[in-house]
Amino acid sequence: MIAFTGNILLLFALLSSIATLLFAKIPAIDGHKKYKFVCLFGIFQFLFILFSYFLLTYGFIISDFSLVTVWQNSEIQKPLIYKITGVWGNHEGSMLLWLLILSVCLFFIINFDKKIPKSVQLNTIAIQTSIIFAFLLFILFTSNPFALQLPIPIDGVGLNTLLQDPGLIIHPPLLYIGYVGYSVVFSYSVAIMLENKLTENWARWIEKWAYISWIALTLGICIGSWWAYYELGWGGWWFWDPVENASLLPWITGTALLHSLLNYKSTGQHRDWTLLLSILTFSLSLIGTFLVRSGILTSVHSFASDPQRGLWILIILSLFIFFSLFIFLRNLQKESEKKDFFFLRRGTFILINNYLLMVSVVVIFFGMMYPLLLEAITGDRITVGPKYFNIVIAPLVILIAILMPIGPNLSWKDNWTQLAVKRLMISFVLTIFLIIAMQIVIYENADAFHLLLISLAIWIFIVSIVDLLPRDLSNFRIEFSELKRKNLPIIGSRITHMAFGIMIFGIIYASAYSENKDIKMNLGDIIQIDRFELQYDGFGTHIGENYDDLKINFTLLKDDKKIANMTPAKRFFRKSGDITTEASIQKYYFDHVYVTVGEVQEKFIYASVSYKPFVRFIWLGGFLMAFGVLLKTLFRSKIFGTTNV
Amino acid sequence: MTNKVKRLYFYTTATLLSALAIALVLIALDENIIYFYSPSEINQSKDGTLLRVGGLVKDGSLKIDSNLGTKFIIEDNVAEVSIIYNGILPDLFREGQGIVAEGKFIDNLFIANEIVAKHDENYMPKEVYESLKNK
Repeated sequence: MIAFTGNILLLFALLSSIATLLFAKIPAIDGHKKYKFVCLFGIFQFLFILFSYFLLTYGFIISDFSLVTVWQNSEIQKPLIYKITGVWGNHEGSMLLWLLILSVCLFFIINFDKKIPKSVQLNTIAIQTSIIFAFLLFILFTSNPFALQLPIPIDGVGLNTLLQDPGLIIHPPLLYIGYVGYSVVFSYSVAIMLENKLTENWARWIEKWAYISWIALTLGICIGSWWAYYELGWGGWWFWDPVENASLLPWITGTALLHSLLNYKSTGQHRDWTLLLSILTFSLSLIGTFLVRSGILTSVHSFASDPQRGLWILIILSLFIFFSLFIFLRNLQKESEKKDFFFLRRGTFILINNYLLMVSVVVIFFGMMYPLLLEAITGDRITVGPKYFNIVIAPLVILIAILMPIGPNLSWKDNWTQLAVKRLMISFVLTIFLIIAMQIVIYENADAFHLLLISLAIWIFIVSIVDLLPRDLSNFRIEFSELKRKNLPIIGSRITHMAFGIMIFGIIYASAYSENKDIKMNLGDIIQIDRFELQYDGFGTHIGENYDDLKINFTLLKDDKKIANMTPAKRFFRKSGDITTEASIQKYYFDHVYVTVGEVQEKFIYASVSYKPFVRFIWLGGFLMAFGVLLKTLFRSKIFGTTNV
Repeated sequence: MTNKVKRLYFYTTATLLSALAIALVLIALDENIIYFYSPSEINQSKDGTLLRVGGLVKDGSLKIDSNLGTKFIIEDNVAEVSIIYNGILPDLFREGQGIVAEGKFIDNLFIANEIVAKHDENYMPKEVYESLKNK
């Protein structure tokens, strides 16, 4: 029953999208009626897809194993929360989620973007619908979540045990909201290019979506990194895995887009570049999906892969990219040459920002694709090590870190101001002072490279804070009272910059000064790790919903005083017989002590113990970045040409 | 300075930096690509370079000594390679299963610094699957 109804719903969604496209493109129908019909069928698409999504969730909840997808990825014993979220823990279901978010976006375009000229809105709806149409075909032909099987098996195969974790609940939806949110940016950009007469307001229509997608993508990546950190059991937070890179690339171009939009809103310059960035960002989201779903790149994240699916997504990808680039090239506007090419203006720094970010995209993309390229040419199978990415990204990050706090100090119109110079000088002195103080207080045997990066992180942090100080100290009270609504977007963007500094600090500190010991421990043994001692106290068992834990008990001590109990575990899943390692993480201010256990014997265990200083700054920074942009989104200036200072 | 000169400076710098970036990429790539071999493709001339070997863990070959040291053999139906690894084996490491080891050859022994047992539905890393397919 579910299989049949589900297919019918998807088919109706497909028919609605065809109807939407037809009504949008048939010239015979007059304006108002046309608009009404397009919106109506647009909403139909959304509803049918929403119902089909609920239906699949229902199938998972009642464990309807006549659905192949449910059978392969679920089991009766699985906890309810993982039945609901397990919908996107597999290829078919996750594509349906992707489709659902596409149609939710369509719903928002129809219902909430009312101030936009009807002609632009019609085109946007049509383009968004064509994306939905393409993915509906893809789902129906290659990844149907409602595929039926008979006879009905008694129990399912079960969900991949690594995925049975709270991370599954939020990481994929956030990431998808980010990816798919850029489809709206894309649709608007193409619609705007199709419109010949442009109002300058277009940047505002895109802006909202660019902000929201960026926030979701940032949070999605952060949570994914945190999940990998505690679940995979080796305490790494970023592996330069192809799938991670695939999410990082649209994030970088998305960041460039945010800055370029600011620039356009304030100066009216670089319209085409901004539009190109919108197209590029969504294209990179699609490329990411293509690479993962086709399985041509090996990764921890890939679901069952199938070359046919890859081919489909490749076709979708090339159609949309070529179509949008064609329209882009047709509508290129010649930039007016009259404007002053001031060197030390804020706009110039945004150009440099965009340039550095694009170089990062190119080098990461190249490293990601190089194994494919080489295998195609020479047949050699290679891996590009994480070191490559670290080496090529480091100089770019250094340049970005030097320049990024300076830009916001400058004016959009004039050259250097005295105030900016003064503030930068103060910040510079403060930074130097703080670095020296830090070297004295927490002396680490730092090499020049790491010290440079840490200094730059502090530099970003300090300049961003100094920049928030009132312009005129004698007027402190008045200025402070103005730190309300009007200034919130400025505060937001400074927080984001500051948070980037915090994140860099965490990344560098944790990778340079971590300590790790893999060690055999007998009962009662104590090992030393940095300033801590860890004592092994034996093990016990704990019975979970669909697994049994073998819990290994440790006591964490500092100066002979107990700080905490730590209980990493070996988790045995009853159904599949899979074993996973559950790490135990103890926070100490901004640091972590991270313990996992390998072999467990009657007499001894193998433990892996790490001390990771300032590692929490990485995620703290990530979340603060998203928070800053959220402030900016909520309180941003809505009038063209008046971007906040 | 006129605008033209400023613009010239800007684009020249951008070009130079791009060239530098390309040079850096090529150098970094040259030093950091890691070749993958199946046991039968390996010859001992690879002594000392970082590489990856992948195959099936031979049944009965796994020996764990008392101090975290592990020794096992991987095979691809044609040839075998002995591997030594000091550290905690991944959860999915089992005899008969496909794994990839990254490390160096030193005196005919492969000293691994990382063992990957990836899970997809076949419990087989992609490289291992493809090299076995041709055997």
